Amino acid sequence: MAGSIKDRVAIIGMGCTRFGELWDKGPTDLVVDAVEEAYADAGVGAKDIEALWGGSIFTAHGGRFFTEALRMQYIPATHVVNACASGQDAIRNAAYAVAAGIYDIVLAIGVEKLKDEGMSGLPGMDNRTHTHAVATMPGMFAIMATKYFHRYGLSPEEGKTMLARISVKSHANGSLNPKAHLRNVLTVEKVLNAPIIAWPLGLFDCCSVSDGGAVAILTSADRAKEFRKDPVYIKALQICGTPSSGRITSEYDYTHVEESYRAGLAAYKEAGVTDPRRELSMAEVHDCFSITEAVTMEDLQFSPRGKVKDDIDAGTFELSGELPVQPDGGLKCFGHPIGASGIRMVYELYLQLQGRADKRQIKDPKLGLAHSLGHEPYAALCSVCIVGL
Amino acid sequence: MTQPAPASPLFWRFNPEVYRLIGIKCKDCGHISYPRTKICHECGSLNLEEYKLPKKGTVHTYCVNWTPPPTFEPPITPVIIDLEGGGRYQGLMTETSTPEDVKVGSKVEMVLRKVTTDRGLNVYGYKFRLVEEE
Ligand SMILES: [Zn+2]
Repeated sequence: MAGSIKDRVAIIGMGCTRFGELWDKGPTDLVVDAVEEAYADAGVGAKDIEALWGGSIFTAHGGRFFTEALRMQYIPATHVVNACASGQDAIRNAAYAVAAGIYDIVLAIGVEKLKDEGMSGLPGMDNRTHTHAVATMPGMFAIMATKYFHRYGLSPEEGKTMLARISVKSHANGSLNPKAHLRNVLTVEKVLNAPIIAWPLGLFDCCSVSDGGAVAILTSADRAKEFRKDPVYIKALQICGTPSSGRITSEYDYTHVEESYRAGLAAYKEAGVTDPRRELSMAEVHDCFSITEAVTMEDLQFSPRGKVKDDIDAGTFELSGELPVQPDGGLKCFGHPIGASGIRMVYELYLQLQGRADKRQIKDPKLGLAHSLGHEPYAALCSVCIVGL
Repeated sequence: MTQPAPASPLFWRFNPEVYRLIGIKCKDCGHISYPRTKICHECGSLNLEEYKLPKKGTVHTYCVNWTPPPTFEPPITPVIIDLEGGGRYQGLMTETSTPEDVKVGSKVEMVLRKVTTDRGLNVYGYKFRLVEEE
C-alpha cells in the first residue's frame, strides 16, 4: 500500500444530536441540528463547506437529501451506503478528498430516522432466497453467543452473566450522557431476568433502535490550527470487505468476526500501533448486541481469544478501567441510528481527547479507536477509525 | 421497511439452489460451496461443477428466536447446519417438541416444508429435523 492517512487530515468541529425516539423531529432536523453544532464548534459556516459525504441506510436517497436539508448551494454531495459502516465510510471518503488536496473544508454526515421506518428492531436484510430465510438481526447474533459459550465451555448461565456485565457497564456510562437514548442504570440480575428476544440474548443484550444525526468537519492537518488550538487528527481509516465465507464454508466458527480482526490489523499498521491494549486510551465499538462487544474485544486484540470474560470480570472496559470501552454508552445506550453511529463514536472520542466529556471524562486520553460492524457476523463489513492528538 | 413480496413457488423451481439443492464443487481444489459461488472461495478458480447436496448435516450453532420476522409464529429455531461433506445451510428446525432439544452438534436431516404464508402465497423450503445418532 503506497499511502497512509495518518496525521494528514484533522477534525476541527463536530456535532451530534441527542439520540432517541425523536417523534417530534424530521430527518432534516437531525442533519441541521448536528451540522449547526459542528459549525459553531469549528467557527465555520455553510459558505466554507466545499463538499460533503453523507452516510445513511434508510433515510437518505442520494446526496441530494443532505444538500437539500442544509440548503447547500450547488456543491458536490455523495451518499455513502455501507451498512453500519456508512458513517465511518463517509469520514473516510471525505478525509481522502482532503488528503488528495482537492478540498480544504468538507463535511462527513451520518443520519438515520429509524423510528419512521416503523420497525421495533432491525430485520435481517439479507433474506435473498429460501436458503437464507428467517433471519432477524438479534437471531443472527444470538447464534454467535450460543457457539461462543459452547466453544469456551461456559454454561448458559455463565455466558449470559458475562454478557450481562457488558450491558450493565454501558448503561452506567449512558446514564452520565445527556445525549444518550437510554439513561437507566441496570443490574446483572435485571438483565438476566429480562424477556428473551432470541435466546440466549434477552432484551438488555440488544441495542436501542434510535433516531439521530452526527457530523464531522474535516480539513488538512496543515490548516487545522487556524480553526482551533485542539484539533483531533486522523491516525487510521480502514474498511474490510468480506467474501462472506461464513455462509458457505464450515471453517468459520461463529465465535469471532474475521472482518473486525482484519480491519483492526490494517488500522494498527496505518496508525503505527503495536500494542493496542496498552497504546489505546479508549474505544467505541459496534455493540449492536452484548455478544458483539464481547467478541470484538478479542477481534481487536484487547483480550486474548476466549478470554474476554476475565477482562469483563476485572472491570477492564469500565470507565475507570484499564481500557474504557463505550464511554458514551455505546450503541446499547446512546443508540443506533445506523448511518449516524460511526460518526457518533468519533464524536465521543473527539470530546474525550479535548477534555470535554464532562462526567464521562477519561484521564488524559491520547488515542481512541472507533469500530463499526456492518451486516452479519458470518458476512460482515467492518470499519476501524483511529483518532488522536 | 417492508419485506419484498414473495415470488410464486412455481418460479423458484427453476432456481437450482432452492429446491434441487445444487451447490458447486471446485474441479481444481475440491472445495464445496452452498449457496453457489461463481468463483471458488478457496482457490479463485472458475472451473466449477454442480454438486448435489446431501440432506444430512450437523448443527453448528442455533438460537431460539422469540421475535421472528413477520408471518412467523414464535418461537422459531434458526440453525446453521454443516452439511455432510461440505457446505453450509442456514435454515429452521422443525418437529422439535421443545427448542431445548436442539444442541450444538445435533445430527439433522432436511425435509421439505411450508415455511410460511406471506401475502397469500405459500413459501416452501427445507427445514431440519433431528435424527437419531447412529
Ligand atoms: Zn477451488
